[in-house]
Amino acid sequence: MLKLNLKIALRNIWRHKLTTTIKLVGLIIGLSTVVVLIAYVMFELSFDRHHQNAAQIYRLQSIEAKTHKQNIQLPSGLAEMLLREIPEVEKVTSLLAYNEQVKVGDNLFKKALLTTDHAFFEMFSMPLIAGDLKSVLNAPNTVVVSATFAKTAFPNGNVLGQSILLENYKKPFQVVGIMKDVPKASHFHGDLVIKSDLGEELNWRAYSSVPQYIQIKKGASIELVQQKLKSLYKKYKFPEGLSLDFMPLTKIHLYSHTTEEIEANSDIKYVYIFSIVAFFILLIAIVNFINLTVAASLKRGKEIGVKKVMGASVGQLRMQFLSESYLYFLFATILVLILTYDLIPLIGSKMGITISLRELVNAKTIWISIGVIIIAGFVSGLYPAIILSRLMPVKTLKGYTGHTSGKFGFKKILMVFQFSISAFLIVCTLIIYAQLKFIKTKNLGFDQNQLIVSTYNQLGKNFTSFKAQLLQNKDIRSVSLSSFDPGNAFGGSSSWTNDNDTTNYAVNFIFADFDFVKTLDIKTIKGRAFSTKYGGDTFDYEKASENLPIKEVIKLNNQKPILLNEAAVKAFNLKKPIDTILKYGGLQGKVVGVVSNFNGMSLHNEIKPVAIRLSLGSTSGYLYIKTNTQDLVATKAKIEDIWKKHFQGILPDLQFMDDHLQQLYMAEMRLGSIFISFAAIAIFLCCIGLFGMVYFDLEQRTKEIAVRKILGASIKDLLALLNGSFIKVVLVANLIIWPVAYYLTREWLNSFYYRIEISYLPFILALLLCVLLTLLTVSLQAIRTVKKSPVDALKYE
Amino acid sequence: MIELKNIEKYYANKGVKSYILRHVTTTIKQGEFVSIMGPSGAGKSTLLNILGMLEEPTYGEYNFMGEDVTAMNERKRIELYRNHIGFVFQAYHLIDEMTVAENIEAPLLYKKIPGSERKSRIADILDRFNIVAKKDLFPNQLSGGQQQLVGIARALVAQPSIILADEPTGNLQSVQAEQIMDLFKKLNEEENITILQVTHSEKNAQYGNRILTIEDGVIKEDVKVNS
Repeated sequence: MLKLNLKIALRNIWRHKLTTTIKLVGLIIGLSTVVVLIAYVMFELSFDRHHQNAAQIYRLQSIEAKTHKQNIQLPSGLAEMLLREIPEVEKVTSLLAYNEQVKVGDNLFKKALLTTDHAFFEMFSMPLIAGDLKSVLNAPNTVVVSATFAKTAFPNGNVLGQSILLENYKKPFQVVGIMKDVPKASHFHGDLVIKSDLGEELNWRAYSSVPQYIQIKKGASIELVQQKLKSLYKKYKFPEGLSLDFMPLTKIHLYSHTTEEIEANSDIKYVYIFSIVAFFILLIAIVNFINLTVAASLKRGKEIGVKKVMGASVGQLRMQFLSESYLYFLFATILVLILTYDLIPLIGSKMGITISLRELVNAKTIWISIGVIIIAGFVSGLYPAIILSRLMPVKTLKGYTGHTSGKFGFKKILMVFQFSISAFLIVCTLIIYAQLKFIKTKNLGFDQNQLIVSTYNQLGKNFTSFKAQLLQNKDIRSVSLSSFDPGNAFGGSSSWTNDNDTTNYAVNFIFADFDFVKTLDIKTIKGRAFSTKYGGDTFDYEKASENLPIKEVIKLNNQKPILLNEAAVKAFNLKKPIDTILKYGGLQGKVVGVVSNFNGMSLHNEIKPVAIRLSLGSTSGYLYIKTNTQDLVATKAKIEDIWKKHFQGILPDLQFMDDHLQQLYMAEMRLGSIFISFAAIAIFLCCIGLFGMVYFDLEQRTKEIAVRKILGASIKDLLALLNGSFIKVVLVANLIIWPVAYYLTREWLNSFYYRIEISYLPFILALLLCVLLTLLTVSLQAIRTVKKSPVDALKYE
Repeated sequence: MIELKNIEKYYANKGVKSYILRHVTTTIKQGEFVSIMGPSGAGKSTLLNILGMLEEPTYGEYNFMGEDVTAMNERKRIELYRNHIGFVFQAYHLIDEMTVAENIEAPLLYKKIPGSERKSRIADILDRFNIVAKKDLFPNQLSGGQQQLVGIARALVAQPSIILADEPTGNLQSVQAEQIMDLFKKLNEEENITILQVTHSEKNAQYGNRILTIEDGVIKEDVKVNS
């Protein structure tokens, strides 16, 4: 029986090539998207799980009682204290990661350096290819390198015992081990590992943002550690309002969003969004399959009727239709597995993740995918199986073709659902892109164009000659050095409470040179910018106050020139800011000018009060170079040449300011490109589903169309008639989804302080796009049927 | 073998009952060849459908081989389809995706007859109906008469005790129709298979040994035919 059913199924598939193709294409696209997303979600969930002790390792962090803000910044030696005091804590380590310039022979590299200790190798699974895991990093001035770095730095293969010069340490380190490369799914990466020289005593004066980790004993619970910790708060004089928290290692990647993460983390939100979208795309594909299967099988009413009167039971018929559905899924699955092999890296790069196939596809992913496909196959096959096996032979044998009785039958409801999802994704895409465009074009209060920035902030004394030579070049307008790291930090901050009115003040400091305002093109609204023309500006306050009594120093400090931004003027409530002497605890000096507000940080945040303070003769900080030219790339190359002359042994690190700022919105851009891909996939699936439905609709209504034509309907009338019911579906779908889309996109936009207003435009555009695609899909097919001579159609009956 | 008592069938529409069948009472014995006749819309097909258990009467009693059909569950009904009833349709209703041999095999599969016996029964019936050469063809490659032959072969292969035929020759030319009717007569006489056919044709009705005439849902005449 199974054999015969299979044979019939294959003959059916072969005979109805058009519907077969539509069904298969829909399934393949839907399932491929889902498999890719499963692979991606699995990847995100797999972070740091490769460590054998993953379940026992926690990162220390603090929670502020008031704000619930999590912070990695903790006094050094805290982990060591826990190790001494709490028996359940087995091992501790700390991990500082930054890009270090390293020198091997004559070759310079910029590589991620991990500064930690021996326990790091015991706690984390970092297998060594060469070297002794038991003693590694115990000796001073030793380094462990990654396999990849070993290959590039020591191509002759002789690695152990070689020496590597680290720029910041100014001394050679001896290679004592080669470790396997850190897997992609890790919250830290490094090519070199050296021993840290951080103190091991708990020191409340030495806060550091170097993450500290503890490993608890197997079988011990973190709650117990937390409980025992409480008694230590007093003993070790923890500051009020600060409590210690333990972030499980495996949660860091998705749940931790402190400002001092080793690497930019992902967010569990994205895992949810991807999963939900994948689920809906799968549903669209399933709906296509269901609708087309039901539509196609109405022609098989006769087969069902005959089989029933021959003694087939409902169960047997259900099994037949279910196995037919599975046959499709089997075909689709094979193609999907082949296809996704190429698709995963492609879509991966679209989503802004560069992961190779091997890292994404593993046995687990494949099993989960197959599981999902089996369930999807069941869901898709079940409804048609139930509907079809229920058909009464007395009707089907009389040539009943299955016009659904209700005007808005189940299949229409399913189509509404499909188009709702498409419309939702289109609206979201349009709004996300509108906000991204707003970000790109927003006037930030300074000119980011033709501006080059370097984040290497230890230029040193050669900076003066470097700047002088740069300015000789006619393409370079001005050069400035300041503490302002765009998007990351201003350089300093202070907050205090006014004793008189208990107002809280908070202000950010930028320490800058004379050319800062000019180089960034920040507008001076009142007063003046810093200038060498004024004695008050060029006066060296530090030097002058060296041997003065404290009263005199304060007096002197009150004369220090300060620029405020508008937000600061407002915060301090200054009516006439110019020449006001500020005498706050954290901010003293004379206001010489007011500059317009500028967005120094991401547009997620409101512009905060900023005070720009003059720092004379500084040679460290972020370098800004304003150019005159359109040919930025060539100018950048020229600057790099000059750089090499002045800073030998330091790799130039120049970026265009607009690129640098775009990096602040990586997550949003990634979201945008994901939504645009998904919207395209969803609407495409909807359209091929619609194409199939129209095909059957036309087949059923051939006679009706012929009769109407004879009665005098024009082609236009008929097209309107045929389009009408589908356009209704699209309209209803759009209307239903508008409030949902409005609500969710507004939530998303609320994460930006500077954002677009949601207009009706994206909604109308999404609707128009859906309507247009529907009209095209329906009319392209319908026009053929409608143009046919009615005689042919009527002869059949 | 069939007993109908006071069978009624009506559709209620806005409180108005429109009757299809009224007070139909009759008995059909094993081995009879009954033709049901009457004008269009008289209720012939509905009666056949009720006899074939494709439709349920609104009221009345129907006993098939001594069992009350109205109280019968789905499983029992399927049992009857598999073992006792063969259907022949005006439009043949062969399954387009199956070959001739496969169409004939289908009811045997539902009867769970072992493969070797299936093969011999199919070979046997193909031989008897002279359609061995056509066994691998699909229905649309056959003429109407040939299709109806396959349809009858399919009904017979499960060795039913009764054949229900709804205008079996309605779509056929007269020569082919005669062949089919001869075949029915032969099956009835030689194998004692009960045959119930709905027909419009006076001539076809003469092949049987009893004619039921229905008009407006009521049995008007019940006459024996002596041929």
